[in-house]
Amino acid sequence: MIFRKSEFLNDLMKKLYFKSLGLVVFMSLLGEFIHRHIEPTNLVMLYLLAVVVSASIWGRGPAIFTSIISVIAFDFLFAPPRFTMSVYDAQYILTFSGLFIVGIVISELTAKMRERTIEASRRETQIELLKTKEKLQTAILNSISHDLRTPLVSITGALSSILNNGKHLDKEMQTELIKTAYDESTRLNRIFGNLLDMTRIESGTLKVSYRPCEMRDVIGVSLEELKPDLEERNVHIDIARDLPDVTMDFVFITKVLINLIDNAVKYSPPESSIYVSAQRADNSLHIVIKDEGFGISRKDLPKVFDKFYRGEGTEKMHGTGLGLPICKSIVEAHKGRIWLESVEGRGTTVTVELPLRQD
Amino acid sequence: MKEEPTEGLRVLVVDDEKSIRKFLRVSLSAHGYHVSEARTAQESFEVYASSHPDIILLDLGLPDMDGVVVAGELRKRVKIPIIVLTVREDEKSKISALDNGADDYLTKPFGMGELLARMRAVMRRMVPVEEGAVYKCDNFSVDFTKRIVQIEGKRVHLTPTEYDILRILILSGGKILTHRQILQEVWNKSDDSEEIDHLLRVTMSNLRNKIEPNPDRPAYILTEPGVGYRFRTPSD
Repeated sequence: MIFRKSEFLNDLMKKLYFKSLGLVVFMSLLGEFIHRHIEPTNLVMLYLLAVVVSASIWGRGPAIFTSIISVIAFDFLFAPPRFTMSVYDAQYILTFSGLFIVGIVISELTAKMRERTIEASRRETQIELLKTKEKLQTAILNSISHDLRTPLVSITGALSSILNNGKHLDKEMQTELIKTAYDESTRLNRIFGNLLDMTRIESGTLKVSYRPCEMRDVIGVSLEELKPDLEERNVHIDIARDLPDVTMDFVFITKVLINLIDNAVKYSPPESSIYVSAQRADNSLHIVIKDEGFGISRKDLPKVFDKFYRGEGTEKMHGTGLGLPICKSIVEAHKGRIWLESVEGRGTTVTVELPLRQD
Repeated sequence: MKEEPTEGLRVLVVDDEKSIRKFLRVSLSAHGYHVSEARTAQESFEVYASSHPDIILLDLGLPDMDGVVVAGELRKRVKIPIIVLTVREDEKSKISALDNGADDYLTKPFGMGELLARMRAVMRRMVPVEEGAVYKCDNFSVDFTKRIVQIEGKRVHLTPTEYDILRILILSGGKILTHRQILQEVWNKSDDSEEIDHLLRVTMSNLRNKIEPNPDRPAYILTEPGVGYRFRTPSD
């Protein structure tokens, strides 16, 4: 079938037929200028050009449409007697048929070519998708072999020490070892959580459930989660007193803050300070996490929110390259924004902006 | 297992992971070790200079320098045992750490019992087996001056190459020797082409057939898969 209904409607929607009509009008005007100098049959070439152009740009339907109105326009405007639909010479019937058939053939061929191109690019997208999937799998495997193993080393070591050498350890030492094992299992859980969240984001099943939350609570829970890492760190907390309750998903925003504070700890020297603040800015809430760490190079800065991206020189530090992309997805699911300012050697400031809802 | 006194021995733990340093500090202190810590390669050189450790536990995945290079650098400065700790599964880094002077390696995660045993073993090896003496263990004896190997009082005839391999394994006192180290010592070859590697395996198999009571389950010459061989010391 030459015309497909859905294709026709689709093309109609995109006004492609009007464009084809415009092209034929243009060719006719051009013909009007030059028809005195050339044979009328040669004017057919102008219309064939219109068919080719419309077939290659707009596709099958508009091309067929172009060839039909080209025949009509040619007959009316140029085939003698001009400005009538009748013809003197029977050979013009041949010219019309020629124009029409060539038009149809060109349309068909071009349409096939277009389909093939579309198919090829679809395949390419599919390959890209597979590559991304493979990259996710590799990242998960890398995390398992490195990131997941590191906490396990401490857990295995601490527990084996208690099991085998109990008699050497006093109560305080035992408690310290158990605490190490516990802290590290919490860390393991966090890494698993991040991987799970990423797969949820990837599959579009991340569901945000809103409820009014007190910022003091959200920040408090995040800091508590990171307590073992923050024990010897100088953390300054500044939460504005007049902050209203903010409607958000408590669990997810806590995850964002944990990821951001964890980054601040990881990428700054132990003696430097970390600042966490929550302030109102017009109709939104700004949560700012600032460190005095190594900062991010100009080259890396635009890519930090890309999945799996690890900054130069951070490959040996623990991390999956998933933290910031997860934060971004969560914040955007809240209709908020997240951005990052950094000066190499001076430190990094991350701001999370969440809308203050009036409900 | 017989516990040897470790009271007062100083150990330097080099690892960028706080939790790993912490459990090692607590567990090793409980066994009488004095523990000093370093987070980076740079720090390890500084702490080494100030704490004069008797043994070093070195993580290969340090943030500021390749652990293999650190092992080499430390080996240049000190003669004390270095045990490499690694999460890396790949044999290459272990082998190059051993080639660069590490005395032993332990793949993370590991139990404290295993670590303590390895530490005692490398410390013991610091007292070298002297060439010229007669080495004896169980029913096994090697007279280094006369180049005579005896098992249960019966002489075993070894080819010169077989004897050389046995000698360097015994003299290294239970330390792992990598394929490369054995090839270098015995054949004076530094490249480990497939051909020469095959030669080593065949010679090793012949040697085991002659000295092992059950060559399929070696009791004296143990294989460290993908890395090399070590001679089993009586207390292992």
